Amino acid sequence: MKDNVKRYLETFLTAHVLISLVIGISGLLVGREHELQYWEMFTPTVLALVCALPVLLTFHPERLSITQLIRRRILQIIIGEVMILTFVATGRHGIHTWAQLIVVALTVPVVVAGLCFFDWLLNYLEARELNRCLKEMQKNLSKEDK
Amino acid sequence: MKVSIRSIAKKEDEQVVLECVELTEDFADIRDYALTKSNTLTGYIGKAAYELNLKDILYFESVGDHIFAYTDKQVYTVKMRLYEVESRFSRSKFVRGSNTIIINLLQIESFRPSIGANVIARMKTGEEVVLSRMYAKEMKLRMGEF
Repeated sequence: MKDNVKRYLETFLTAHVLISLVIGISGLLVGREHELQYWEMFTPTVLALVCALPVLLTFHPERLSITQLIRRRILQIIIGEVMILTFVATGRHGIHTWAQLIVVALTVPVVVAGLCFFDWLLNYLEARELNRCLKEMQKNLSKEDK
Repeated sequence: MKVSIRSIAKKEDEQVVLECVELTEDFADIRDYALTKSNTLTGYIGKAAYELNLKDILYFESVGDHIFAYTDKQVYTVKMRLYEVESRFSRSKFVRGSNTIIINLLQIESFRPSIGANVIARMKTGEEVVLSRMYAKEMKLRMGEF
């Protein structure tokens, strides 16, 4: 439990710093004149608390199993969906039609699927290279045995 | 440097004795080499000690404060730290596969891609071990040495 909370706090602080930076930089770029209300100061804290949730829910002190990895990925997608839909729905332009809702809702899983595929592709290439080295090693060792 | 070999009767009395004025780099190398040539390791199940043959060990895993040696049928506790296992067997076929695992290259059958920057090593016994892509470069280098 202690490790779990420690890991959650680490993730929360990292997310808090990154979200504050993103909000600060994007604000400077696109909304320099915008005045913030006091309640808006809590945005990075609330977002970071939500972002770190998958860590709390799927934490494992040593390493994540495949099931836990998948569970964490699904949770990340759900949280991402909720955050993006909430922001778009409550933003200046809002969501007015089903088509808009579907497009926004689909964006998150499509992006996550793309990232997962890219990650898997890197793993695939690495595994192929490792298999080649393994075959070579086995061939060399069998030559030595003879 | 003089080298002398003395014949003895018992296998269990076999040893390498180094006689030196001071432990120079050359002597340290010979000592390290002799240490890694030892083909056995003591593993424990409860309080019972077992002499394990290195070639039978599939991998070492660190879980919390304990190090475990996995063979086909049993799991033994090893009274060493993971970095000690790594340095002691650095000249043998054991290589770091993740932050918590040191794997026996001779027991790997193949690699396949996984998710989350991991590759899965399928052992000759059928067991699957999750390895980090981060250590792939080191594994390839070590496999190239044989």
